[in-house]
Amino acid sequence: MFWKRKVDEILNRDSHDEELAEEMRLHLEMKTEELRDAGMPEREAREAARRAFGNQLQFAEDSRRHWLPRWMDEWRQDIRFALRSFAVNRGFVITVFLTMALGIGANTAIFSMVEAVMLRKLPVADPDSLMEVVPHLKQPGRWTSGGNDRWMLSYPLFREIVGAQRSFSCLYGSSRLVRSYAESGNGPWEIRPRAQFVSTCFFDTIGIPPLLGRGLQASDVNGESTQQVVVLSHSTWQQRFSADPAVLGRSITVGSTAFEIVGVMPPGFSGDSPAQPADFWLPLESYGRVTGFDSWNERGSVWFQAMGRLRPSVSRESAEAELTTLLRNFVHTDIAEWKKADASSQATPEMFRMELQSGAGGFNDLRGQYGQALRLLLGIVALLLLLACLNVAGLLMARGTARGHEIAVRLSLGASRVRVMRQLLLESLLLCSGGALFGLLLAHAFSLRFVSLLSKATAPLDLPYRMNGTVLLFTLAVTILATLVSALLPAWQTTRGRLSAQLASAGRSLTQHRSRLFLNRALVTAQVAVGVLLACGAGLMLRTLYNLSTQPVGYEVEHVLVAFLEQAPQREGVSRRSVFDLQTGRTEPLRARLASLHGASAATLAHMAPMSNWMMSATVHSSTGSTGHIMALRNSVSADYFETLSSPLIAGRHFRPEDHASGRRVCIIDEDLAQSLFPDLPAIGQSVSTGKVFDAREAMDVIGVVRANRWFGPKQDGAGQFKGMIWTTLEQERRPFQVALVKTTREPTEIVPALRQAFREEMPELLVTNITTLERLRDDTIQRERLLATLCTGFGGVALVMIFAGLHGLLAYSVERRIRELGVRIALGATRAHLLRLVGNESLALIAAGLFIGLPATWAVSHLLGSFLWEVKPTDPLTYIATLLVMAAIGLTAALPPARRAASVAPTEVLRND
Amino acid sequence: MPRSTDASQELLPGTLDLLILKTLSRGPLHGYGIAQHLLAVSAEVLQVGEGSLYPALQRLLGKEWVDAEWGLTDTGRRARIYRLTPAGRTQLAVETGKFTRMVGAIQAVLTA
Repeated sequence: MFWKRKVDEILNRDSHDEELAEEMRLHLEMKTEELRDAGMPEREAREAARRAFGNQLQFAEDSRRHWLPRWMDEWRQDIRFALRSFAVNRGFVITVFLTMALGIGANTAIFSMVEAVMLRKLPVADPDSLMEVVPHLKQPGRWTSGGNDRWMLSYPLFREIVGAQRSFSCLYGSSRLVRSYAESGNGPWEIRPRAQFVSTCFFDTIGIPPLLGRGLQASDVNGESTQQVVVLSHSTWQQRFSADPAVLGRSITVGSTAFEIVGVMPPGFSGDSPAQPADFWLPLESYGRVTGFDSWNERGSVWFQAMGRLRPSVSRESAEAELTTLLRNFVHTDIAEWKKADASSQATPEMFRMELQSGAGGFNDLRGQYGQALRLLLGIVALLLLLACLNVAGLLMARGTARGHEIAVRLSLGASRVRVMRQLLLESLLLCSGGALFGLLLAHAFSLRFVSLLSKATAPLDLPYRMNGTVLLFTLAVTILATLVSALLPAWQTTRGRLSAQLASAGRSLTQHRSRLFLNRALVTAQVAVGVLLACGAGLMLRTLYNLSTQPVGYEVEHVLVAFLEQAPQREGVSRRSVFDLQTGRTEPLRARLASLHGASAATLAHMAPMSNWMMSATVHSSTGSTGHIMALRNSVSADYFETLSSPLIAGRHFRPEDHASGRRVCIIDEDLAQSLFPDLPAIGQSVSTGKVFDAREAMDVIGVVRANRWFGPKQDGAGQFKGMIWTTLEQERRPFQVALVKTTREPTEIVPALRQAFREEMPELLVTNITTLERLRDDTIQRERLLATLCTGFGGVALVMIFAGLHGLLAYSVERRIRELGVRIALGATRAHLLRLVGNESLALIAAGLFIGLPATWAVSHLLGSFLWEVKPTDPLTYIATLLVMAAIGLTAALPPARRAASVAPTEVLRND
Repeated sequence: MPRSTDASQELLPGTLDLLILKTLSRGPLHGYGIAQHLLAVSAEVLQVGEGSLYPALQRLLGKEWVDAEWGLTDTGRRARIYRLTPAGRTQLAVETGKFTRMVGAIQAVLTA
């Protein structure tokens, strides 16, 4: 009741005012009438009534305080006043608005990504007690490249740990896989199904009860064999089964295995990996059957991750210790085996350890891939916001000066300084909030684009990005902070003026406002310094991207179409060998057909495509036996592989059809491997073999050497242990082809329809899972650098525009203030060139001051960028010089219009105005 | 800027409120009517002007001791008519008691 009345009063403030006024008017009228009736003349009666009534304004004010607290009343007045003043200063308002929208928008956008990638927790009960179990293997000199020694688990290891551990209440294994094919009641799915294989404890660990039926349970699995059962996600149930309530007992076919549906999960739950939602959940033990991965149950096959719920009483450290002991016990047996096979093995159980990581956010590769980059970006947008604040502060100072007179009058009429400052701060808060709202829209658009920048050709990203409460709270905090940073100093400065000085001079003196201009200059200098940081960062990122995109990889990525293929539906128990048999005799006709497509100049079929995240490796021995343990990447290819990829032959020859018939096994190696295997003699004509030792029966003749190949792309990340690359033919290795590569003479995507048709006609049972270009695959390998270069350049560009605006505003203002002085100078004989120089020098002096602070500061913090750069030092002189030149150019262009204004001053006019 | 408060305009704190409540206990009345009645009782109460009645009325409205509605005066003019609420009636009794005790106490001191 009380609150309803309060709200009503605040909203109806105007009607309250009117009612009170009417009441008082009535009072006066009645009093006047009474006095007149008593014989007083009309005018005197009115006067007397008024006297008797007292101070009407004061009483109205006192009354108002009872229906509205005073502070609220004042805020209301201030807001109204601010809005009125905005209406007459549209240009100013729009500038501040846009500046803040960019600054706050960029921060919101990056933060929303940080939130989605790093902060968001799984929508499950008590996510904080979830722990990811990560085995680490540190083996000096071998697997340490890239510093990434994380491993996954093998099934026997998992079983042993689950059976023996006491630290977790539940512990489950999980592997996500995009399958090529699934069908349900209404036929094959038009999308590739996203399966998650989980051990039965998954549903207990997650703790979300199914909407229908049940989750997987221990009784589904007996030893290593499992019931073929599946639990659907809510969206799969809706889209594939029209939300049929009688779906339980029906089945879906994945690959060629039918799974009975036993449960449906509620909406909003899509698994334990936010960036990789699952369409359904299958038992971990069915992985081998579905994928044809025969060795899923071997001790050394590591292929899945594990997560568990820590018991409340157990500390992370003690759980880590327990699991490490279990892991070391497990590998003890294997290490003994290795030592038997290879006496030189240095492996010890102490190289293995288990690490527990918080699983609150679920399995999330993005965190590892982009966590560091996102932190860097947060720093960059914070600088951008600082720049925006400095800019707005400059604008507010200028506006304060323009309003100096008005504010001086208000102060002299009894407004307290605090009140006027509050009024100014409120105006700024309104402006910043408006900018923030606009910034939210920008951030939303930007974030959608950002998600698409993170998506890869071979791994589309399904990031559940949204503006949630956390993000909005962040934006609110940033807005308030930005308001204080940008408005506090100008508000203090504006209300500092003495009325006498203001009113007396009214802008006539030649030398006034020195302190104001000093502050403005300091602001612009700070802007330039911050801008130097951003521009240098952007320059270094651009150089990195340039270096990576021009880094020779040993083959050409332009105009190559890549098609990923699968023999479909992959039959149960079909091994690689039998897929090869299915392809026998059909490989060459298909290849020839692809090469003859209109717009194609060459085509090849291969087991794997470069830069597609897949690799095979082998230990290679030379016939000379002089080299030790050499690891190489390998691939098996059809004819024309090197022609299609334009990978030049350095020595020897290409594969020929007769190689197959002759029965001599042949191979081509790249120059790196040739150098490692045969440092002193020509490689051609030598023979090599793979395996533990050189085996003459398996030996292959080296028939060609090609330019060094970077299989993983320009950075060749994680390839430190490989000494080169070796190619064999599909026929001799009896490996099926899984990709087709086509060199085109025009835009590769134009021949996609013809390509699909060729596949349909030549091998209709082939499933084309993805078609992309080699260039796109290359770009994906340098995605992080591309992302950083794009964003840093964008933010750097915005920064330069802000600096330009700030500098230009200051110079224009300074010229306007000095117009009289300039007039006098001209009258005394200064040339126009002199005046142009005067303004130009002021501008360059500001830029120089900014550079003087900015360049050393950048130098000092540039090492933070080190890990993001490629073949360019954080202190790259070229980038610093380029930044210096860009800043100088900005200084000169920003000075040009004010300088011309200064040079065009007509002395008679300005002096006459006095 | 100096600002007057309601209380400083009164003879004794709370007197004006008490007198308004007392006046309204005889029946609903508009502002001018209340002022007339108060003036008839004592010239001291509205010392700083008849208008000081209005902030006091707003305060009583805020405390929900009185209620107001727009109606017509005897002469047919639109006026806000105030009436005592049940809460106001209770308050009047409490205030009267307090006031009487206080006056008694002061008198006792003065005559001692």
